[in-house]
Amino acid sequence: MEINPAMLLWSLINFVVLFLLLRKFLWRPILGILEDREREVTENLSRAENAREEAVRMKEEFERRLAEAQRRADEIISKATRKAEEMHNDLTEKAQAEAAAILERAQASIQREKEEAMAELRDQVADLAIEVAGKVLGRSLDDQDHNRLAREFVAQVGEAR
Amino acid sequence: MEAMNGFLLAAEAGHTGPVAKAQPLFQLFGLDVTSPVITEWFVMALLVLLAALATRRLQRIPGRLQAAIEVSVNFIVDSVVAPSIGSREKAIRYLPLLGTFFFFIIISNYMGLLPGAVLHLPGFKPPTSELSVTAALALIAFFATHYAGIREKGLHYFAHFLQPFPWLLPLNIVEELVRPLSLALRLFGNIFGGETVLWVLLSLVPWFIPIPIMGLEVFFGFLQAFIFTTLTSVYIGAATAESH
Repeated sequence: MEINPAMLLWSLINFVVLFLLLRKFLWRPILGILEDREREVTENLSRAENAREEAVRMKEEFERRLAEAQRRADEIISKATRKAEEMHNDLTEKAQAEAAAILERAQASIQREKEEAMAELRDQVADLAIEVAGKVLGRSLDDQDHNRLAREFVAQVGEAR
Repeated sequence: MEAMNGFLLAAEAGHTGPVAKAQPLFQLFGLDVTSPVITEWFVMALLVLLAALATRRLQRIPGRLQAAIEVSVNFIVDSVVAPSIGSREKAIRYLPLLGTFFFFIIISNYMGLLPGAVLHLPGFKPPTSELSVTAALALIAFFATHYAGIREKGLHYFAHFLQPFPWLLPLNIVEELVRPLSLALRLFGNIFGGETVLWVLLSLVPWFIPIPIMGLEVFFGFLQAFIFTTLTSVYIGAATAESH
């Protein structure tokens, strides 16, 4: 149980030697590589974090652009629709106006022709009536009478109508 | 019972077994070389060889040996030293000393489990079953603690001897001196005791019966290395703590 000074001294020396050897062959290299690995892991983590942030940023950017594109597409479509409607309305109006004009012209023309026909009819009816009357009266009226009578007759016929 | 008494008598006489006084086998540089010293050299050679092999080609993705050493080192840092010394940073700063304590003590303890150690083959005896060896370890722990304190805090380090009251100075000094004593005695007592139990058992019933005790010694060998390293970490942690 008593202390053996030589053994104590040897143990001190041995431990110090072992300490120095292990420091060189074990602790420094191992701590070095553990530290390296830790640093690498930290770096990788921060790099991954950066990449994630970048991805989020890009996603937001794309979404923003997509929304912008969508908005512009909507705008273009609605503009086109509005234009088409306007054009449609214009054309319809124009067509209606044209149709109305044609109708009016046609009616005017019909009216004119009718009036012309009526006038011609009136002349012919007058001539015929004079002729019939002359034949009835047995004599022919001179031109002056003829004209007067015809006008009177026509006027009467016109009133009668 | 007779046989038991015989062993104990022989033990008391100090002729055989773990109790036997270490006889000088030869001298080196004028110093007696005894069996535990030779075993220390063996332990040192084993540790340095393993360390050199494991760290010869360190790789980022470790091979088996490197992985085993890394796991051990991480265990010592995170589970043994860091909780006692206060911080992981400090644990790494004092790892070379504390880790060497741990490896040297645990392998020395396990030397007692090898065949021949207990029955005292010449030149082969677990170093930590010798008080002279554990005393040397405790002395190194003692001086390392105060060296660390002075290195980190300068002369201010000595102020803690006067705390919490100056008149406690003698008690504080006694406490500091008792620490290495308890470190040395605890380690020696546990390993020596285990060796003695194993020796008695092996002498009485060499087959099978000692196996559970050997299993227990595997645990105790680890536990004592753990305790020695943890306590030294606590002492160094306290000596280098920020002034309170």
